[in-house]
Amino acid sequence: MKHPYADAPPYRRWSRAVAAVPPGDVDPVVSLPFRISTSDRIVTAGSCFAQHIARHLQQNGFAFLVTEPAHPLVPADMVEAMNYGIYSARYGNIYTARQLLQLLRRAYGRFTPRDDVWEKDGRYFDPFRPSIQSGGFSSLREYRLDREQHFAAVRRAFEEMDVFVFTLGLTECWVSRDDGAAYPVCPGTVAGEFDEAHHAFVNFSVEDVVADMTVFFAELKEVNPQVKTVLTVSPVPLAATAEDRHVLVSTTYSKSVLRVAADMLARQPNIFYFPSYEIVTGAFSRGDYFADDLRSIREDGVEHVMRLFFRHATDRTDKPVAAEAVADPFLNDMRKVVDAICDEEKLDQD
Amino acid sequence: MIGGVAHNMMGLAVHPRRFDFVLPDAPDLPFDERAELVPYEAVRASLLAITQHYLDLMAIVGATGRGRIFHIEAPPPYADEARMLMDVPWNYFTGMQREVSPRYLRYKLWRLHSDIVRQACARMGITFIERPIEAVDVDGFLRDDYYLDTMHVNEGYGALVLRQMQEVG
Repeated sequence: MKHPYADAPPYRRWSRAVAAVPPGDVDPVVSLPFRISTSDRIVTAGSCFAQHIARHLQQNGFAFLVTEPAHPLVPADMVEAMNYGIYSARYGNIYTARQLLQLLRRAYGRFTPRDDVWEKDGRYFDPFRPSIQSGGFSSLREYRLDREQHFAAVRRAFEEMDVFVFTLGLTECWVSRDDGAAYPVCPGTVAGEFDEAHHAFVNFSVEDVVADMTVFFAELKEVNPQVKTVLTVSPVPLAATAEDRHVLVSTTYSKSVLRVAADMLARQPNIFYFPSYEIVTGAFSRGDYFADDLRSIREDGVEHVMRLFFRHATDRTDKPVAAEAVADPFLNDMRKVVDAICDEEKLDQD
Repeated sequence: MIGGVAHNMMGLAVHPRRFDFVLPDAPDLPFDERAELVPYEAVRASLLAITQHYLDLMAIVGATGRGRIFHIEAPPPYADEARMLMDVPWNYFTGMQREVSPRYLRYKLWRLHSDIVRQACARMGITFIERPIEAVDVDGFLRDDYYLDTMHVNEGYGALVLRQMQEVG
């Protein structure tokens, strides 16, 4: 009787699937049980690595669903600075599963954090997306109207998407002691003020992440029963740890928890794991996919991930050219009209 | 007077993506509930971009003139959209919605425009002459008596401005 490894395909053997393969050809995906078509509406969210995924999907002609696009009046050089189009809506980076769950609940009015707004020098900051608008909002009313508009866009994204690509980023998180509201970054770092009486550090376990994501999927299913989710784990190491230990040790803990949680979650229907973490951090690349800071991901690492993503998770291989941005046509037309009317008036002067 | 129309470019006719914004110094002014909020900084940058041409021209005039230079503020908007609707030469507005923007959007754009020009004048040493107060109603809109058409005021308004000029001259 043969042992279980005797007929194992090459991809199950390190010597053949990793050691003997040129770095750029290592392909740990093997197969995915579904394909994303160019007509599927895709929503992306997660830690900063998710921005790369969103960018490549857009550049390659996929139906990247943006429910909170910049108004054409927003000058082109301000669009990115105001975080339009980075993700499907202006939620900024979502580092933890708890944050994702609370975003859903806040958008549907099921959770209203007591920490409502941070004010400094007449500028207003959203505690749950403090860097979404550079320098903050210009008035409290603008902040409230924008948040209402944002939540409507989040609801639309959740309800209309066919595919959700979510990148798990961190387990370390700061929460409000008052009601458990999860902040994307520690209060006082980007905006707001840190207050030990109100802010607490948590480092989520596998059970925490799985529980939060499971509740998220259940609540998402109520508004979108058909959605398929692709989970990835960000390969970007922690910038800093709040644990009193080496940041490398904390990074290993965080990524291990997220990787295990992703594996457990991917055993549920319509949830799939895509190994971008392995592609970037695997020893086969000998660290070449990391930039000089040993944290940022080089573009060739991102391209390796996306090449395999397009090969295995989508039904297209060609790469259309990204559309060029155009100035607001309304403004151009109005300029002509107003100039014409004014010029015409001159003809009617005594 | 140089310029004075940029705010009309942005807000005389309703934009295909109906928008509104909040003025930081008057945040309680009515907001169009049917409109998409555009951040104030973005509206300001966009309006500044289409005003810049006139500001550049003003700077050239300022650099070549010998005497004092005055800038007359653009007249405030007229409130009555229904009356304005009749006066808009829609044949110029091909493909656009035949709807005049809500009065408070036009008012906010006018205030923002005045703010941009006032600041530019201060930098250039140009005296900024505000709209004659007699021509403005309690809400800040142009009184009926001074309306000519969607973008222009009448001779009566001109007479008020001439009087202002005599006073400052």
